[in-house]
Amino acid sequence: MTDEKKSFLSKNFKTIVTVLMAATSLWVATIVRIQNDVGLHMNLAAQRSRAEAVTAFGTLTRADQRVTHGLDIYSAFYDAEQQTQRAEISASAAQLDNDTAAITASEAVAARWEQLQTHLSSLTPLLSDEYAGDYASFYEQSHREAYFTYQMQKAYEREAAIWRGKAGSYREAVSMLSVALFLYGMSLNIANWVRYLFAASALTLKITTIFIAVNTFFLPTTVTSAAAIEQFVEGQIVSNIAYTAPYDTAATLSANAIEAFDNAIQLDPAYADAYQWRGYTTLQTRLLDADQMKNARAAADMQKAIELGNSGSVVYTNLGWAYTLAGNYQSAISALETAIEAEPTECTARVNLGLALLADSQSEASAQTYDGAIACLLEESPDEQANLFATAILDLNDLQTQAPDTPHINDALLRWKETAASLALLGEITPQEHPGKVEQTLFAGGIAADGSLIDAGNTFTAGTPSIYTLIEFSQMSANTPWMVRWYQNGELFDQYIADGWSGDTTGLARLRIKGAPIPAGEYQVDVFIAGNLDANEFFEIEAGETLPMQAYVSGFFRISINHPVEWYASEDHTANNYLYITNPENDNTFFWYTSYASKNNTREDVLSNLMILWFSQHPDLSYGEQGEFFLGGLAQASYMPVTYTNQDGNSIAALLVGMADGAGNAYALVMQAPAIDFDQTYQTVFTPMLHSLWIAPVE
Amino acid sequence: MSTESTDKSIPVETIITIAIAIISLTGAMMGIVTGGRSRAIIKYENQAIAAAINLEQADVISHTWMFQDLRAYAEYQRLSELSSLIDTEAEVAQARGDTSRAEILHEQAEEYRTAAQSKATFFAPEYVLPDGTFDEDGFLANQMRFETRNLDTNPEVNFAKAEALIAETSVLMNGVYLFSFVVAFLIFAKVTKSKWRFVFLTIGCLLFIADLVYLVLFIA
Repeated sequence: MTDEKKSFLSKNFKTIVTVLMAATSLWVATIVRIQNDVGLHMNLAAQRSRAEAVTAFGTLTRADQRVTHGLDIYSAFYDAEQQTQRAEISASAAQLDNDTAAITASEAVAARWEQLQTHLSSLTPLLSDEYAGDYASFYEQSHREAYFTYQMQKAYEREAAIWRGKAGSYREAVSMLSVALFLYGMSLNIANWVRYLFAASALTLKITTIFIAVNTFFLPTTVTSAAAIEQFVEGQIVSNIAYTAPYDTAATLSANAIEAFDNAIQLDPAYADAYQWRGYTTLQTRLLDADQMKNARAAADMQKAIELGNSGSVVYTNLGWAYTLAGNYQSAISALETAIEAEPTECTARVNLGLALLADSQSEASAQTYDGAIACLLEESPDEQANLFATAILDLNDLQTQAPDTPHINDALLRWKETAASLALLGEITPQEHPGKVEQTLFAGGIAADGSLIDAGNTFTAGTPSIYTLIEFSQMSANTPWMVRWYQNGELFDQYIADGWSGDTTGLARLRIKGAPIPAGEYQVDVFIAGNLDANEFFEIEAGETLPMQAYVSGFFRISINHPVEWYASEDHTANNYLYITNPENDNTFFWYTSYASKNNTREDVLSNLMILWFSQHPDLSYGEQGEFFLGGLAQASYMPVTYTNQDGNSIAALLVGMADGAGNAYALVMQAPAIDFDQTYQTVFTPMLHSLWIAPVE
Repeated sequence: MSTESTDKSIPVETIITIAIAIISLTGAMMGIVTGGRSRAIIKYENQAIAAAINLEQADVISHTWMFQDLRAYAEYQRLSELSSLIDTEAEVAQARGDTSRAEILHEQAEEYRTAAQSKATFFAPEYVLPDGTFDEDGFLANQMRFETRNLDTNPEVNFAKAEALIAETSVLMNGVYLFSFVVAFLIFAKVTKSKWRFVFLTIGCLLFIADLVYLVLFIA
């Protein structure tokens, strides 16, 4: 049977091979036919991508023009706002001089600029109710069409790439088939058994091309739909707005952005940008308190984006950070090295690589990487430099807290802090040697007129509106540069850069940080002299329930004060100048303030006048024991607790306060609440308000 | 018998050879037509890119002009508003009897008015609507009409033409592709010496007719 088969094969070999060659030729024709179609689609997609690139550029330029115009108007609006404030201050000054003509004139000027502000508000959407001056939202929404067109360009690019891949596979198949035809041809010219080998090889090649062609033919060529792109762009815009938004709203915005990216991915499961952006939006920014579930999701998204073709430096930098947060330092190092290889000017990747190496106990490699990172930072803009320095210090602070035993962590932290300070003070990265020293650093809630400290210590209660830092220097010389940085839980909270030391070799600096109130947390205070970290002290603001406050600044009264966010402030600049801050739900509860020129009055006189005024309105007024406290960073004040019945027959309690600055100015204030609630309101509301009150001295 | 058979087969082979030649020529001609179509596709695709560039260039230029006018108009409005507000203040001062202040204010207002007038030469007043707003859309429409005159600015039309040609080319290529099968069957018929040659010939002829019908139907 086998011999029969052999003889059949041997007898009909040429015919069989000829038929196979014909079939192969037809198969080549088939593949070429398909390849031709693929080539046409590839060109079309590539050309559409180019056309979209042109459109995207045009759309972006127009969006930028609109934003620039909005900013021009905003700038004019801001100028008008400043002019209004200046005019109000002039009116206030005229008030103290009792110059009626000047008051009228200044008030008219203030009204003029205020009207102009109203007019300018109508000229750009940036100042409309929709955006209310929120530049980030205005910028992002103005660029929506540009983002969309750019994504369309990328979608066509991806489509062209898919077609290009298919065309490449078909080309490979045709090449293999030409080899197969050659082998068939050879087999026809060989008489011995080798011809079977040639023919079999040719047949194998042909079968392989069938697999390649079928697989390529059924490879999906689905393109990202416009609906998916719309969802992505929505996510991108919201994510960008979240980046600059305050902490509480940022979380909600990020959640909304992630939802939009989810929708985009649902519509196109191969949407690389959507994975990248979802990962970026999910990614945590702090080493401490990192949510490992979120980190894992962010890392998975970044990996998916890379798998789908987004293999740029940014994706690897973010992936490296996700691994660092998860404590997977080896993977982080590898991802960050890839990021730097892809883009050597990516300073963030270098800073993060230094951190990952340090955390992985590779101190020497970390120090070398940090050298490169600092060199890289020096090429950046001053803003970007400051940002990256703050981030590097924050991450090292976090690592120090998380893993205090990490080798050389303190050296690394000191190096970054001193480099940043040296750059800020000296314009170079190395501190200068200097004999100057910090002898003592103290903290206080306030400073009395005689210079004594109020609430001195290292622990302050929740709701503290301001903290004084008192630094005693010695061995200083003229113009020595120095600065102070306050970090809240590792994050830069405030800084003070002195123009240069003036005065004696020893001296005291008094600096004040404030908030509405200052957020709770551990505060680290670094004092630098000529770039050298000379003192590193701590204080704490205790956590606790605090009434949410907002700052109110009055140019007219030259004061700043915090008040509960639900309350509102209004000023009357007509016959009786006063500032009135009240609870809209209960107008028996209010804070009332006024100031006026009073050349010879003492604080006792001011208080007496106030009591007379109050007595004239409330004949049943009874009073308690007079007391004193320091007020507004200015001087001692006298107060008197009083009770009376108001027009509605309610029992009311109030604290009347009088103060004089000895420079011809009198200040009076009243804190009133229903008698039944007064103590509670005084404790929770009026005390933090009084603590936050700051009165600028009249010069 | 054998001689007879050979005698009968001669005209068949000749017919097959002629058929192969005709079909090959037809295929070659269709190939030339397809090539022409492909060149046209490239032409339309390039025209589409050029049109996209023309459109964006015109649109960006129009916006640049529009924002120049709008900026000047916004500044004009700001200065005019200021001069008018200062005039009102001056009148109030005058009414109060404060003549010296009224005079200063009038001078200030005049300065702002002069500055506003100088800005007025930098925008087209015909686009200022009765309510005082600037007709951005009207300005852009007119400017675009001017900028796009005699220019192809519709990439989509060109892409649509290219897509239509791709579809046509695809039909033609299918035709050429089928011809390759026709030729193959005719070659089989030519090289086969048995009665199978007639089967191959028939299949080849049927395929050829089907191909022609397909081409006529689809191109029509």
